[in-house]
Amino acid sequence: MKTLLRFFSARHIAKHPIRALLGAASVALGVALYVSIDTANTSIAAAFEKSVNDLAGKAELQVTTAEGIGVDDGALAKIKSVPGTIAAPVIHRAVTFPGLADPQILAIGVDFQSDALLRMYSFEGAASDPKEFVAAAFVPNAIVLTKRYAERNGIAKKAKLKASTPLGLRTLVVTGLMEDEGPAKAMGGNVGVMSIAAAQELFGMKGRFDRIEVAPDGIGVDELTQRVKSALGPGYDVRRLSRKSTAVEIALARLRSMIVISAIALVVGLFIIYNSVSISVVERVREIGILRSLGAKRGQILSTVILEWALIGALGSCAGLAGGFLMSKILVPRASGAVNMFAFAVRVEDIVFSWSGAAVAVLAGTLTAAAAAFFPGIAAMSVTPIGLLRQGTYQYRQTPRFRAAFFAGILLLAAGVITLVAGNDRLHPYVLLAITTIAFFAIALCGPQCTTWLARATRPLLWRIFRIEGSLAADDLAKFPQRTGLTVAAFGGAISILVASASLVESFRASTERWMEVSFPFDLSLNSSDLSTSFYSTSAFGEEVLEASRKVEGVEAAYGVRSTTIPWGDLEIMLIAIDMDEFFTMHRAHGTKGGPLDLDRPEIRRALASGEGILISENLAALDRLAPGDTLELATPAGGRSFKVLASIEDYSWPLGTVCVDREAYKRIWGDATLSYVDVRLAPGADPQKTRARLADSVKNLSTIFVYSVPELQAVGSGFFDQVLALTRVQVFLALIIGFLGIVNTLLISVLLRTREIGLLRAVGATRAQIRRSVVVESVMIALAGSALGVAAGLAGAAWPIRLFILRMAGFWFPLEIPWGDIGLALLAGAVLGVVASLVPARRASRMNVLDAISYE
Amino acid sequence: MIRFDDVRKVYTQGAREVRALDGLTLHVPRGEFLAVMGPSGSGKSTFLHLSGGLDLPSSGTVTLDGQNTATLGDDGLTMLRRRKIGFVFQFFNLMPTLRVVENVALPLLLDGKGTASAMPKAAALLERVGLTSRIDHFPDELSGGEMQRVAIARALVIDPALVLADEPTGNLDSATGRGILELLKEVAEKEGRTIVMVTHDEAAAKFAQRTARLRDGKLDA
Repeated sequence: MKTLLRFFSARHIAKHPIRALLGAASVALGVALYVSIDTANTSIAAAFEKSVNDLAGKAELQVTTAEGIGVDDGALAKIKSVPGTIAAPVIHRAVTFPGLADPQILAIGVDFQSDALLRMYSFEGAASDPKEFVAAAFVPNAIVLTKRYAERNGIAKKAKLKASTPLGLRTLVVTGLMEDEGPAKAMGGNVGVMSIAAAQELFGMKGRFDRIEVAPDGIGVDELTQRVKSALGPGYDVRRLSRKSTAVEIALARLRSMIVISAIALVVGLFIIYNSVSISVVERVREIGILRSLGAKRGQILSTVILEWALIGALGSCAGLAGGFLMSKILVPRASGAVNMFAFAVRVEDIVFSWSGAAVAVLAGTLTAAAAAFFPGIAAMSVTPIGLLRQGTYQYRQTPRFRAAFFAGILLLAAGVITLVAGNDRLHPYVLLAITTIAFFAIALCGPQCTTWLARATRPLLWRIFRIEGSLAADDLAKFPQRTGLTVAAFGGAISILVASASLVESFRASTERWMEVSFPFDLSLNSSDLSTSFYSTSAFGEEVLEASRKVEGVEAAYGVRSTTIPWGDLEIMLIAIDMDEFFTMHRAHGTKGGPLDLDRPEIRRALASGEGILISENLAALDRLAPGDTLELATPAGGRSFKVLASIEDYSWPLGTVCVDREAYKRIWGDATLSYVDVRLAPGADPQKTRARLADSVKNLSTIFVYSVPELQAVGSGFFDQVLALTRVQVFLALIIGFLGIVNTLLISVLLRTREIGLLRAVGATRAQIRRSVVVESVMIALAGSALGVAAGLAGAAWPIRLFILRMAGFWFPLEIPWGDIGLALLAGAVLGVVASLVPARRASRMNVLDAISYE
Repeated sequence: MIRFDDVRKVYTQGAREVRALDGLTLHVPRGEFLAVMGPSGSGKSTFLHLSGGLDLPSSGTVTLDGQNTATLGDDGLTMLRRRKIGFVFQFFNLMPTLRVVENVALPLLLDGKGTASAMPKAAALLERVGLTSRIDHFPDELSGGEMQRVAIARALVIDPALVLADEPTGNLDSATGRGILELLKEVAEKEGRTIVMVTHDEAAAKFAQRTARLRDGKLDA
């Protein structure tokens, strides 16, 4: 084996380094895609876990209210009275310091006396008299920052910082600095601590906390849980301190959903290597025949060929590891940025390399290359030594049954479709991924026969346009349909990623815009949170804001909305309570067609008002397989309560799903009369700017209100969108490079195989330009066929398996839009890439020495 | 038609220099059927390649139809081959994906002629070489003799002034080879084309009007 590797494999690779390099590069790119996703995933998860642990200290339990509006003082007193407990109230909020280089921090409101029993703080200069330090530092409008954060942003002690808070811009004084210990280590040091009273005042949470954290004092955690639960009674949620964040889970799921791109990229790489191995076997058929006639066993040569390409695959995979690690440095800030648009939950300082992920990637890359080598190797080994020595016999035996392969491919595709129809949304995401991948194999099986048909069908047209060069190009396509078919499938795979991504993004964008159009019957929205800081917050204001808004001159109507999250398994779903009567009335005034007005039926209105019925978002219906008429149990202060699903609605507020209820029913059931926003419709002829100013003025003494117009809300949505898009663009770009490499590889092989023919053409009078043109036409034909296939496969994938996969992984479900612009771009990109990919092979073909070419064997 | 004046052609094989032609001077007048013979390594193939503008001399002058090949450049040589020279190879060198008639018409199509004019001419030549029944076949459906007749038809389709044949019967049985040689002789005699044929076979050389024998890159006196 060693001898064969040295003399048979190494020499051949040394003679054809570009082919080995292209094979390795295609594996490297597929692996790089996977590794970048895996590394970003691991890094974000690790950074989040570290922050959670740093922030938790000794705390084991968290107490919240089921409805998610905060815990009150009474609960704290009850827990503190339980023997064997240490309890501390906590408020966590993102605070932005506009103008700083690193503007966002997590502000933690703590009762320092009780918190010091749970967490270790180390304040600069507090060693001599901690009590005096705390008394001086934890005062209203004061914050203690970490030394790391202060140094990073050039902040000195006593500095006054403008902070964007729910109460608007507030000035906070930096009264102390923390050493890098305990909670100060969380979020990469982007942490500030303030007194609980200051936090309550600053975040509009008078008398309430986000949660109470509890540690056992001489008792077990189970015992602690029991004692706290019985002390509090119903209406409270007592559970182990959450190691999960819905925002992080959503973002990680979205990242993981990109694995579909790397899987397709690896399949594309496999096709490219298959072509390379096929040709390297054809080239060495005589050598193999000699080796066989000298006594080498079939198995020896087969394993040498497989090992040769497995080594190339392994080398490519190692290069891919390095590339993926570098790519993850681009991916991580964008992915963590997407997390923090939901809630400030993670700050990644270190890229964490996942050794298990790396091992999986190298193994996948190596096995892909080995698998690609297996079949051409087996085919060569099935021929007798004398047959191999007579090369023609081998070529003849190699003529595959394209029709049989075509029907096998069709059957495989049909099996995939049947599985999808039968399983639909019950299929596991990885089954969907497998179906998508197998579909590409099926297409590859159909490729050779389709190529033959395509070449036959286009030959007259190519002749008409390009004369003899076009005709020669068509003949060449048909001459090696297997190779051409695989390349078309490979390029199609790359284009399909582009089209599927574009289609899904366009669908999501169009759906979101349509949803915003039909769901936003208002002109202005008074919001309790600053959307530039975070999409979602639990902050709220009182109903007096709604009453005040209705009285403002120029306001025709207004309704109130409370949006909050409620527990849903380990994570949370969104609960939206709306003043339904006013909401429907405003829609009618707005002239909305369909959408929410389809639900304005007496029986639905009655069920909503009574609190028996709820509306659910389509993604929740799809994720949990819920249909109208089903019942759904939701957490309420009085414990779990069943609601009847009245209908599913288009809503993209929350990736895990939204439940919509009537606000009057919400007030009765959840006991919460606060509002997250008030939506206002202007009277006909009212001046928007003046009315907006009057609105802001009328509520300024009631609460901190952020007023947004509909275009501003849409701009916030677009910003989120761009963040998501940035993640996919890099991946799509790399996938296209793989497809491009596939064409270059195929054309180089094509030129090599046609060496003698090209020499002959030159001998009988073909100019260099004519040879070049025929190679370019062949390349463009492959690229265009691949693009057409990619468009069809991309749309089919986006319409079905990938859309289901994204629903299962990331929680988005939307009607499909056809991205005509991107399809045009894909076809154009295909043609351009086809021309570019042909440049080197065409140059090589046209510069061939005629005599060498004629005598080439 | 062909003038070789003190032509030298030197190849390097590794560190070694090989003098394929060593001061060859030879004139082939228009309309002559010349056989070129000699042992392996005597320079026969090099002579043929230089005559066809497939290669250039290291020194000396090769003049084809009054044009010095060294001054023509790649495009000039290509045009010369396309319009004035027909090639017949030992191993036929037909395009496997083209039908017989398309193979014959290929030089015309490369020259920008339309199928309307190229195909009838190709068909007429195939009739002349006795292959009308094989017109729509592919090369792998033909015998060796048939393939060589197709190659001759392809060489003649451009009405070349010069036909270069490299061992045209080397891969054929003697009866078939004789048929091919008679065809070449007829082309030279009836159409006045110049034919240069490289061969190892004395019997084949007898079909030519003159035989030039090469040894070590020179004419063997």
